[in-house]
Amino acid sequence: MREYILKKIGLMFVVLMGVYTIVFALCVAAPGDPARIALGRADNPLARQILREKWGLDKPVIQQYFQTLKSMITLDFPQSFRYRENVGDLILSRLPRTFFLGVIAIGVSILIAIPAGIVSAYKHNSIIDNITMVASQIGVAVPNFWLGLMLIVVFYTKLHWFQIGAPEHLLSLEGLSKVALPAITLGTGMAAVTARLTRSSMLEVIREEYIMTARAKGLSERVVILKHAFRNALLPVVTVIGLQFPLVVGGAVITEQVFGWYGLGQLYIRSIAARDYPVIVTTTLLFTIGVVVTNLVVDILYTYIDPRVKYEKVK
Amino acid sequence: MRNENLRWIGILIVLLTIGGMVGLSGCISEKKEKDSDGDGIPDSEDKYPGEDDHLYLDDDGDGVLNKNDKYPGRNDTMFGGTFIRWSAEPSTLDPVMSTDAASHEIITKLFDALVQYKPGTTEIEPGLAKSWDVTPDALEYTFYLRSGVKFHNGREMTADDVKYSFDRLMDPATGSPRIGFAEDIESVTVVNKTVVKIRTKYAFIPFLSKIAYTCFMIVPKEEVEKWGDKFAQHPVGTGPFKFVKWDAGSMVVIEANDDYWGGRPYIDRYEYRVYEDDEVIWQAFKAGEISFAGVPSAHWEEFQADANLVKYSKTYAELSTFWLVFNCEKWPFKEKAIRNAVCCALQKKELLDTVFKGRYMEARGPLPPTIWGFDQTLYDSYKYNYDPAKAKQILDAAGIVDTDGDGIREYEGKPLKIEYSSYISASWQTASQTHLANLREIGIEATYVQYEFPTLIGMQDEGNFTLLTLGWGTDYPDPENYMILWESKNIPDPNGCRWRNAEFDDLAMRAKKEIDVSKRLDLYKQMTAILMEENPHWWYFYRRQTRVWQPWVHGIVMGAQGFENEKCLGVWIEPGHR
Repeated sequence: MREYILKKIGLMFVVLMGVYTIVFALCVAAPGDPARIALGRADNPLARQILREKWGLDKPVIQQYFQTLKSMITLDFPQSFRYRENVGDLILSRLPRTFFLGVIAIGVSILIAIPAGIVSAYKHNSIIDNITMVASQIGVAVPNFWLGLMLIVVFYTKLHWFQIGAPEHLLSLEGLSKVALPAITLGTGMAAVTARLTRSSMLEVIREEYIMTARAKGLSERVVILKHAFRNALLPVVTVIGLQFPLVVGGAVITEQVFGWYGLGQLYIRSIAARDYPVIVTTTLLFTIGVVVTNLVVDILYTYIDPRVKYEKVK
Repeated sequence: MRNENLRWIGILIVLLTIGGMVGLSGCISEKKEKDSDGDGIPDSEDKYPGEDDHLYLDDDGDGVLNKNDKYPGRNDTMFGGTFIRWSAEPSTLDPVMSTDAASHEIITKLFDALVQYKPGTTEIEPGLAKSWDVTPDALEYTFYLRSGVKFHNGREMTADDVKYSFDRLMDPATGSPRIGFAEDIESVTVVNKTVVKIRTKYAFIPFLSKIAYTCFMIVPKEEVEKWGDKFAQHPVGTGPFKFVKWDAGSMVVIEANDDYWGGRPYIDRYEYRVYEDDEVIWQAFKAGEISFAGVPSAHWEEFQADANLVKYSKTYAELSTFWLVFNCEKWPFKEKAIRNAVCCALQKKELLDTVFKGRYMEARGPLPPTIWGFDQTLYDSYKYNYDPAKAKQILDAAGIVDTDGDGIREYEGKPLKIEYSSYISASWQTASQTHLANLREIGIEATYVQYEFPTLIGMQDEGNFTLLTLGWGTDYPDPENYMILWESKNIPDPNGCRWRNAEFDDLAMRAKKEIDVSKRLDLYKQMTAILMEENPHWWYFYRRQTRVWQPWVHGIVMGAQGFENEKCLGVWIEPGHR
């Protein structure tokens, strides 16, 4: 297992180098001068020259490539072009918000999807099953931003049940009130996919002979379904939840914008518009690390869910 | 004769004696009125013997006796409450680094400049400088500062701070994006604690207007040096509000400065929350969550139909103009006849009434009606309004015709096929469909392409465009800030259309230095007339903004420069909503 983890971490660095090179190339190739954009109407040749020199944009591209790479490796991050703040500090100030939203959204999706999938499978072809499947189709089809706006109009403007915007403190009543709607928006789309997969995975397992044996032994239906069937159906479900992490990141970008939950996603979008290369590169690498680490965590979880899964080399 | 003189001297002595006796009797009778407690009120009229009776008066008429009046001269019953605004995130709170409206709005409340705009106007009034002198050649300004003005850290502001702030802006090492604003300043000299002289390299008549801008606001040296780059997150100024906190991506909170030289603001706190979606801001306003908002286009009809919303709103013309930019250096718009023909071909008023819902005013030249220098006669006399027949005549007269019968005219052997480039905007996209048809009608084929804004700007900088959509808003309310767009020396930026005209350049140079107001006005009229004949742009519209506020919020004032420029000293909130 240790060797497996170390190998995965090693591969992660290879992936990061590849991602860094591609993102850097895209930044350089994209039209628009960051200094010109930062200056806006204040643009003048002297100010532009000063900024380009300050940000190292006057140096050859190869030099910029290695200089930026060095700053990423040594964690000596440069200043953001737009915010004039250290990129590391900037990201650290926004990351908790996005992480909190992501965790709650995944929690919401699991809370909706798992019970719905189990019940659908158990009551296969019943009205409950049909309703659940139609609802999951709608969940997949409905765009994030539309759902978000609808939730705002109903639950915020009309009913005043929740608040919107970014809270002062995440772990507070205000934080929970403000994270609810964006988490539901983000979680609902993911729940739709997870529910369908849980249902089909459960349907496969429920038909296995050992389930029939468990019933024959007189075990309660609850134990048969939740302990025996569900545990064996869990592997693909865990896989898809893990694969949804990038969806959380991507979805968070839009959801943060709609709800004013300004975390890393919103920072990322604004940085692209502003050609804020340090933020774009650092945030992309951070997202990459997040995806790789999440996949690694999922792989490790497999060994606990199904002890037959091992990562040792076959001798 | 000698007897006559003696007689007159005698009369004079008598008159003086009488006068002296009358005066003396007055003093004696005054002295006779006793005022034991020294409050200026005689004991016979003194209601509160032993105390200063003025304590029991209400000099400012706010219903609070002077002895309890915390803020003399201000209505004490109006104090309190939090003004909540939702808008884009500021990028900095350092005056010399600000380039965006969001930063500008907060900086204007935290800091002061030597001069400032009268609330709701574009007129200059004293700020930190109570008065100033200008030499006849307009090369030297002497500012006399107010005494006793304090920074938020308690230290008194002096002329040294003015010099420091200006020098900091002008120093390339600071890296201020606004360094260009100070290009005309030669030196800043401290005369004494309250007098500072600024010498300019050349006469620049809008100088006073310009130094009201945020980058010229005064900062304390010790705070800037203490915080370094982080001063932007820990601003200290002399403004009516003091910095409380900035939660990145969440909110900026500022609170009233009790010791403000202009009088404490009525509101206790100004909460500026980061939120960018117009639709959601509108919903929050309707839910009563925020004090003030703009009216999004999608809700314009809803706004107009609601008398309550209209009652607590203001529509004002901005200092901005939107247009299509012709590339005057390249085919085909290097040809004036083609530019003028396109001006006549494109519908304007109909689109403003429908697509833009009648919110904006039709433009016929560069200057909006809200700026000094706008001339109504010139505006009314514009020759290139929508007239497709005239457009065709202009092209025919220039020999630009359809030689091969495909419906598209040729110019210099090439068919008139162009790209109409635009930044991403649903309204522009809708309006452009009509424009494409308009151009087709006169034999020009255009394709509409949208680009991300930075990309469009990049295209303009490189001259890699034919026709593109853009606009301009002034940094200071003077026509000079418009005319720089067409001076040849400013190609390619801000003269993105790359139009050259020697006569215009000469007029522009003269206008910057002309001290006589009426002569200066005449110069700008001439320049406007040239632009309206040459048409380096197609003048589309002057934008108007509409802002609404809650019925319990009062004292909202805003002029052509918008609410962002106001210090909000007069804004107050009713009890019960504080």
